[in-house]
Amino acid sequence: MIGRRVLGQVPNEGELSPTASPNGAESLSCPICNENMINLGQLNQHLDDTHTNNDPSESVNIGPYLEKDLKNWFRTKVVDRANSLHPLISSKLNTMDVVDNMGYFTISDSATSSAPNSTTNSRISSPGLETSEISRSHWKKPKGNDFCHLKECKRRLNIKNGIVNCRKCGFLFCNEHTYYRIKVNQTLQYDPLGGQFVRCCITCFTNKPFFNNFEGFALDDTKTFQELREKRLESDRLKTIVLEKRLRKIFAFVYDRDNPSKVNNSEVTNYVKQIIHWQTDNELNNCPLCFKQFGRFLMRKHHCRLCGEIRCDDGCSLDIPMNYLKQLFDQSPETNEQYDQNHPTEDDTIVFDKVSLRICKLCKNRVFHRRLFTQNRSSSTGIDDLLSTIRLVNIYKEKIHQLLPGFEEDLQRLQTIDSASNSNQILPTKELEDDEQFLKMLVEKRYKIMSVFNKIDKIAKGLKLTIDQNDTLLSLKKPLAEGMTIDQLKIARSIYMQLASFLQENMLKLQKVPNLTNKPSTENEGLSKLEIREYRDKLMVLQEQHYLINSMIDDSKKKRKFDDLKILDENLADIETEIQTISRKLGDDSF
Amino acid sequence: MDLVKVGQSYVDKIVTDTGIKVLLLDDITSSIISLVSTQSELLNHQVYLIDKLENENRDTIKQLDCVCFLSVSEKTINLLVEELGAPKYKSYKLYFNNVVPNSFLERLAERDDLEMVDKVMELFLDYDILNKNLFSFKQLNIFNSIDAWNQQQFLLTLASLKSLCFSLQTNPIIRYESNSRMCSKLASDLSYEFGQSSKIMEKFPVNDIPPVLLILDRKNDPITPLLNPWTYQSMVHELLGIFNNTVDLTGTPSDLPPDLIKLVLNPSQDPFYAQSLYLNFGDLSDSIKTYVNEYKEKTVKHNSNELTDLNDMKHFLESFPEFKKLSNNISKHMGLITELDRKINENHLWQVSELEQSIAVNDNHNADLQELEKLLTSQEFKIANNLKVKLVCLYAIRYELHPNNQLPKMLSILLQQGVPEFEINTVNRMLKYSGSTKRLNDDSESSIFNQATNNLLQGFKQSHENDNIYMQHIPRLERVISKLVKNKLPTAHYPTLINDFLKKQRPVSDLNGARLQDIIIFFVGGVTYEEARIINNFNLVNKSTRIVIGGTTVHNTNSFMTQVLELE
Ligand SMILES: [Zn+2]
Ligand SMILES: [Zn+2]
Ligand SMILES: [Zn+2]
Ligand SMILES: [Zn+2]
Ligand SMILES: [Zn+2]
Repeated sequence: MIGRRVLGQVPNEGELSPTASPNGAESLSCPICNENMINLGQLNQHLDDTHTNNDPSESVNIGPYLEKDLKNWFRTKVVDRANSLHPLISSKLNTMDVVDNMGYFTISDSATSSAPNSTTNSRISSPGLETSEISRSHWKKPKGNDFCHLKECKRRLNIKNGIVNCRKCGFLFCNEHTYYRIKVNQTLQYDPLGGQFVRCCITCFTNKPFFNNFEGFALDDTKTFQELREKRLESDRLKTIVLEKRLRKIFAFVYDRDNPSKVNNSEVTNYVKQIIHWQTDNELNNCPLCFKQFGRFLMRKHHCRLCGEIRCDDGCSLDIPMNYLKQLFDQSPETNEQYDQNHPTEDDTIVFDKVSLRICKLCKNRVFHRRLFTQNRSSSTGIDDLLSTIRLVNIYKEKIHQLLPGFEEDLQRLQTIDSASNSNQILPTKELEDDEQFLKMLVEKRYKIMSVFNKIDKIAKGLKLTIDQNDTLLSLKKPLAEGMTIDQLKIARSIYMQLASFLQENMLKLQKVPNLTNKPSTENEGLSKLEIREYRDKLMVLQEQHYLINSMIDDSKKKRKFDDLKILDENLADIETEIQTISRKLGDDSF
Repeated sequence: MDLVKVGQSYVDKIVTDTGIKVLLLDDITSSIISLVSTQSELLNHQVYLIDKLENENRDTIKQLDCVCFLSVSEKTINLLVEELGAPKYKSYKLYFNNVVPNSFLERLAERDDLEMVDKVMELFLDYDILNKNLFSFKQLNIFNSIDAWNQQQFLLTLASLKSLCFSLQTNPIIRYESNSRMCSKLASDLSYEFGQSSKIMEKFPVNDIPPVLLILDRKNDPITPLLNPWTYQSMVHELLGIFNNTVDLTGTPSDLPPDLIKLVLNPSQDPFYAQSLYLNFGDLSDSIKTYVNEYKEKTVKHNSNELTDLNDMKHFLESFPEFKKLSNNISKHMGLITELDRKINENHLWQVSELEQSIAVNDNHNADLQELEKLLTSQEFKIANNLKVKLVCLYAIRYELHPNNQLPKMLSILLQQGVPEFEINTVNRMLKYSGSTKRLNDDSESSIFNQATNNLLQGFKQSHENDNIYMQHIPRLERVISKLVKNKLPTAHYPTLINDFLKKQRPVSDLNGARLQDIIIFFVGGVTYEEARIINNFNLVNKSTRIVIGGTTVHNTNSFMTQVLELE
């Protein structure tokens, strides 16, 4: 249902005929709010902007009786009052949209030529009525045979449908498509804060900047974070340097002597007490790091030998063999100055394992966090295999994305050739030859694509095997096969899922080739050299798989993994049928 | 406004960087992200591993980059601090779903001495996106007592509503229902926080028509959640329950295959659902028939002329169970609709619904009373206890002030019929929560019982079928919106809050007859799918006004009655 403005309907009653001659306007005031108006054009716009219920649906849901009531209301309340004010206004009101557009002529006649009189006057005399500031010079003139400018509408513009200029773009629209308001400034630009509301078309409304932008707002804190981290790291580095210095001194005390093996822990402690502030024992009742109470449950106080502060032994400090500590400290690639290069290290474990140093959690992190982290950067092979599978698959997928579109285009061409050959029974020989050439090329392309698909399929099948195998193990609560971790299994599942949906999406496109392969060939007859090669490749791959699965079956039999056997047997059967199919196609060419 | 687009834009931001990666989530964000994305969509962005941050048994995989999408809480920050102390992955990108306090940033920065973090971003997705114009905060137990917030839930609501407005890049004028202390508290705290967020607000685009957030209280319309709905999505929630867009059919008598027990119903992932979620039950049956026929046609075609020539391809097709997607989707909806039908007949919902509508829409005490008594005591229809209580609730609210009110008699009938006393209590609680003195009497014609459509906006009309006796009732929301859109809601009943930032930015906000453009509606105490449906219909027709709606939760009759019963 389409909204129709009540006012626009009144003239249909045939009671009031529009007689527009706006020049006769003296001093006018709005029949509704009694605001003073300079001329009819202004009143017109004022009514339009302030009192028109800018609402396409207002009257839509109103039943026929109510609608009639409303018309009566308008006639008594508005039209009658207007009549009493000035005979001309009534016609204005009744044909507002029409006169509104005719207003184009009248107002522009006096205003556009150099825009001196009425517009400027009205601005001065009544600043509340800024509407006249918005230029109308861009308004399209109605030619008497106009259609709504909206592409989807195109309805004929007349008194009933309305003839309205969008104040922003100036084109002519029907009533329904100009029930919108937008703020524009004097240059007709959208100006959400400084502009004033004018009537506009739906296109101008929905093309407002950001109107269709539904990108979620996001705030990037990276910079703030980096600055905070930098500040923090700076002060950390200073503290770390102090601690590292102390550690070097302790190493020197132990190792830079003639018989380092004679050094014991209490000597080291005594030395440490000389170089750092040793926190007094009775200062504390609780471990300052974990707040556990000392004295209970064998909680004893310990001093960290790097910061000298008291810590518990329950996770907040640890006794670490001196030689291990030194090794860790020296070997790190991050420490530039290596301590005591000349010192023989090979006997360390034998000689010094009794001497140790107690270090607290904080100091350990300060000095060794980075060192330990770089050392732990080892990688398991299982994950590397999976990652290279992902990369390989991505390459294959890329290849298919390169090949497939061209192939699809060719297929379309083939279809046109087909239909042509069906309609015209005799084709020139030249064209026939071309067609054959084209067909050959198409077959080649198809096998190229197929071979990539086969590779992907092979990977998918391999993964499926591993996944099923491990899922069985999981359900039996046994450890996973081949040292696989749960995370690796999850990744394998992801890759498989991705491959499966890739094949689903793209293989269906290949289905459109159906008759192609069989048209030139029954059995091996007509296979091109390339096709034979492709088939042979595929056969080889399959036979390889066949062998692999056979050996897996043997293995499973040995290990009595009967659940796996079932899956493997099924797989073997699949491969065998495929081998047969291809061998049959190849015929004598098979090997 | 399209919440699904907003949600997807956030997912894009999270997974956009190239490279094989792992995605870490927490309990809150994993349900949020599952509503706007799928595993295969994430896979397309090279997310090969998804895990919870709190899972301690994750492998160390130094080859993988890590993206985190996390809620903002003490617990999450603690876990993150731990993770950064002993990093498991190559690098970290941190995305939070709401405003991150500076103290949290500092703690993270302090721990990141290995410089593992190379991105920190605040996204504003602290809410569930259910449809493109429906959101939920999934909160129950929001009450401390009648019309008073549980403080903890209040803070969650406040944060979520803030994130919703931020995500839509809106700094709204806030309107709320004056008779609700809960609404008023939420409105004023929110307005204050908006006024304080000028750093963020500055970045939002300015519109000529300022956006409006309208905060409503469920108690002002207790009728809508008590009525049996007859459109697909609403019915599924009413009769089977939808949680996180998932339906759990465990325990239904139909023989269902295991993969059809837990069903995902997401319009952005399920085209059939997208086109039929607002259909009434009759149209729905037609729609599923067409769907099945289309499928049959497709499969017949496939089998006869396309697949036969390609043995190798057929082989591929059969090896991957994923190809069954389409047929699975059909069985899914067939299963659901069958189950709905079973429930309707089992509970005599046609009869029950007819009486519900009559009570809600007509003023006909004696006839309604007679019919009510008949249904409560009927030997022919065995009606479940909760439905009986619900009918008496409707009666109690509708005829609370009627001189002939027979509520005590109805309550004693319930007791005679063996309904447990605590369940019967719901009726009195309902009156305490939402009786005539508790509701906003903004004007007589917009009473919650009115059926008249006179002053409704275009778009609402489509929501109601005059010839359908089961869908006569018009939610109060429609009348409220019809006024709001024309900016004619009386400020006496709907006070207006304009925050400090807005006041500075837009000293004069004269709409000058323009209709509102962007509206967010929030129901304290829960919204219904029925209300979401009428909003959807409204949005379809009105091109210049866009509404999104949501609530502390999405109610069906049972959850609403439970919420009321639990009120002290
Ligand atoms: Zn006026
Ligand atoms: Zn325009
Ligand atoms: Zn038009
Ligand atoms: Zn220390
Ligand atoms: Zn401790």
